[in-house]
Amino acid sequence: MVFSNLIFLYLFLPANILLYYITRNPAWRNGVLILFSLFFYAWGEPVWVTLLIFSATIDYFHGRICEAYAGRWQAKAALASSLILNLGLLGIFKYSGMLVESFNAVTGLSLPVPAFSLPIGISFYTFQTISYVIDVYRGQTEAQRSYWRFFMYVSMYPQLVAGPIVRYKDVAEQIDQRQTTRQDFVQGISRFCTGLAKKVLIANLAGDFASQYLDGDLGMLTTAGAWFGILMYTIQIYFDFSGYSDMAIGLARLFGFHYMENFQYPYISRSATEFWRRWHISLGSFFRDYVYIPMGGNRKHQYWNLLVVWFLTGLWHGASWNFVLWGMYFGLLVAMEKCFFHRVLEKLPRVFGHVYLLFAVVIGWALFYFTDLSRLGTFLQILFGVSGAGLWDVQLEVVLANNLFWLVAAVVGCLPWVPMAKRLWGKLQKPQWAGALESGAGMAWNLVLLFFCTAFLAGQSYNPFLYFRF
Amino acid sequence: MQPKQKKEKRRPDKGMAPWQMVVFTAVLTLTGVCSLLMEKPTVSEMEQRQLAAMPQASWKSWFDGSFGKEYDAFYADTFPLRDFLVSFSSQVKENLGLRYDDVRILGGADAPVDSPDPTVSQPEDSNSGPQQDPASDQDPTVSQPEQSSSSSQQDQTDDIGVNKSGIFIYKGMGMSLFGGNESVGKVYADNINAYHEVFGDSVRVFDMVVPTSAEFYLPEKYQSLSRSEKDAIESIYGHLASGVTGVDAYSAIQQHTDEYLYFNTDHHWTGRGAYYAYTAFAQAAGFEPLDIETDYDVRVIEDFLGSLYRQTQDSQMREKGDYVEYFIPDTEASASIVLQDQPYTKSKWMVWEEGVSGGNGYLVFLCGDAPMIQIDTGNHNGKSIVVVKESYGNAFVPFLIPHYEHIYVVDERYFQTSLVSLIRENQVDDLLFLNNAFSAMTAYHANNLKKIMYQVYTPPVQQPQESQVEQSSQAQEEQEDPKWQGIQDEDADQDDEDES
Repeated sequence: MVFSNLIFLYLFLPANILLYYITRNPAWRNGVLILFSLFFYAWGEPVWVTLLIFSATIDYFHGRICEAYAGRWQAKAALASSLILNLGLLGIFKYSGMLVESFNAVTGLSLPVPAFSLPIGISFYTFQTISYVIDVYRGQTEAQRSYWRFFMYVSMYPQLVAGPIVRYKDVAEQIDQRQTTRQDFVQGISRFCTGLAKKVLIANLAGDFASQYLDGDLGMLTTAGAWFGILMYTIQIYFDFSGYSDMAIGLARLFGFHYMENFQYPYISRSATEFWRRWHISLGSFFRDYVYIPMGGNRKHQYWNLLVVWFLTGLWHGASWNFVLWGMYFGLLVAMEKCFFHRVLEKLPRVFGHVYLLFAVVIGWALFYFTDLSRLGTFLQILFGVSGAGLWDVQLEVVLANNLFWLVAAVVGCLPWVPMAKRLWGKLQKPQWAGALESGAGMAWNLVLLFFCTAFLAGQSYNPFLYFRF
Repeated sequence: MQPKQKKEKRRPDKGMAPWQMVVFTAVLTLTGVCSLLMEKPTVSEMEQRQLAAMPQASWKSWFDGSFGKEYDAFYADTFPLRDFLVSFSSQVKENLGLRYDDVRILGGADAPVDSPDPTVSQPEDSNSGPQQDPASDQDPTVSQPEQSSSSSQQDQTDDIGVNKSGIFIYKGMGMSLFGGNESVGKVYADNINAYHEVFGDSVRVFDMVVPTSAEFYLPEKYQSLSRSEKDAIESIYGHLASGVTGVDAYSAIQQHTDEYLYFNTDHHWTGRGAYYAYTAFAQAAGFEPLDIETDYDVRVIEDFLGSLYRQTQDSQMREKGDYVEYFIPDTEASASIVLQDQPYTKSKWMVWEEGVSGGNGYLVFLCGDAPMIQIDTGNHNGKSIVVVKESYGNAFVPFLIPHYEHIYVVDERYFQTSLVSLIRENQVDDLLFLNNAFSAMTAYHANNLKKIMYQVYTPPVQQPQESQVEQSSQAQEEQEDPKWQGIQDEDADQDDEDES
């Protein structure tokens, strides 16, 4: 199931909230979360839910062994076993097709290419359980004694499908003992509605535009159209992914969990290094803490470490070489910045950093978007006006005008005006009733967003029958 | 980080009243309860289609994931106040910006180029078919959330091939932008030539490809957005064998573009548009056409809002609106029909369905599409014609009534037996292929001309229980409301296609 879905909003979620809050008994509450999470996952993936259960079960035991035999060979073996099993599963389900295909392409053989359907969220939950076992092994957190509590951590539906990658040690306390306050609940609602609106009202529309311009016959695409298409994708992927993280954080908050932020307005960064501290933070910090630093970080063979980390970061995003290319591209930028470029940027006016980063990111999304490298090549030629394609098209002119207000809103939405406004509001001298006004207005705003999202979700199902097919 | 949060928690809930929790949960819960308890509609008037039905739960459907998917579709299709929510969202979309030059453009090159078909070689410039969703093999962000909701829409556009280049709205008139490709046009022409080879000079073969509204009514600045249908038609005619006559409907229509030849809100031509094509055909076939001013009983159905309106729900289009004009000649005529999956029985039918209204206006002509309609006229001149067509043909066929004793109207999409046999058995004199430029250049149609040539009827495979229930309920509805006939037929046809 997904969050931006009418069944989720009006059947699953209210049932979940009501059953959760019906008693204060923590075992009941944990049980409710587990059952709803399993149902949530099985709705779209009725078979591979077994894989999730398997993964959670083995790592529960790995964690217990790591703790019980801390410092002995058994702990090492448990860690190795966890890594092999988790990465093995990921390898089989996600990368085997790509590997065999590439092997065939290089050797000229034609081995049968395995075609597994990718179990939803496998990249996220395997990383969560890996981080848990490593942290226990390192003694950074205690192993969870209760199987069910550990299972709840792995299967929690808010982050199960698309992150953030929540580390066990960050939520350990809340798993064992959590309080849910009204404040949590209300903030959770706001966060969830905001995320839903980002996904449904901005990302989905941007996605329609992106595919109109990027999926069609590239022979018809103009340079302006190419820029518009890739900018729309830039907007889509940010609002989609950060919206999803917002919804995850908000939902978890409803039930008393506090997740780390996953996005911090990445498009206002002034360097690739900064971008990756603001974009998908839970993934970047995963690779930093579990790959880059253990390999020696910036103390030994730093550039080799960077190469490995960015290769893996790219590969994690999908089983296709263009993702690797995309990862390496960012690796190169980061290395360049570390080497000298950062110092140069520091000396220049800030605007240069912004322009450089936005340009680099947008080109990066082109690498990310086109899984077919020859199509990518054609697209980049059009983008830079060297393909002989037209520069401007009248259709784009109309599309820009037809969607002008929405475009402005989408661009402004990438900027941190909400925290700015909140800070300003906080500084103001306010009368007594301002607090009530604030909460009333907040709730009304959330309901308005919810209504618009519901209308748009219903609109997606609108599918007029053309009784005369051409 | 951690200790700070704890402090926050212990702080009394300043300014936070429980009413917010209650309101939010109540809104979700009540809507949810309504969605379960309210009566579920089965048909959408607005969309003219059957809504998704409640799927039957079984272990199999649960474990292959189809139950979840179908329940999603059912739930979204029957959500409370759905019609209101849908038009609200289209109005919001309409107001996301400004209408520039009185123009609005919807959709674009996103729809797949053609219904996939192995027998027609895809032209080199057509993009790689339905391109894989860029994110579909990577799980983090964009991918899965999309799939469930958009898949049904995708199927639909796949089949239609109508607005593959988008819908262009100018001052309230909607037009489908043309993007057809030449190599399909050649297959289309070759498949027509094959009929000439079979019959030689014993049957006169005509082909008439008619332009659509985008060809004449796009403002000059935007004409480059739609490929030239004139060039497309000429290229098709260039591929016709010497014994096949290409009928120049284009010029006849072009001379009258200040008249009401195409609908504002529908992708069809009007009866009047079809009339001018008929004069061109009369010239090619060697008979004298009737005069539109004097020779017909002209009737009108008011307040027609067609397919382009249904797709866009554009407010200017709704304001502009349409009416359906139809022209009844003096010559008597009676009709019979061959229904889907009853290829050897004829039932009574009508040439005009004058009771239609609202979105069904175009169904006045022949009462919609059927595998085969036979019209017998009061003109006992012994002449007969087969017209092979899609829906554009419906407005055209009635004009032939004064000139032929028997008219066999074959829909290239639904016809289930052999066209060659039909022509032989009835000793037909003339054979006319009539298509609009879009369908002449769509692989699905081009291939159908070949498919129906020596087609042998195969009864539908026995369906599992659940869908039989569905079919019988459909059949009931058919009886209650004959207007929906054409729609039902096509529904059935779609199922067939999915299977093959």
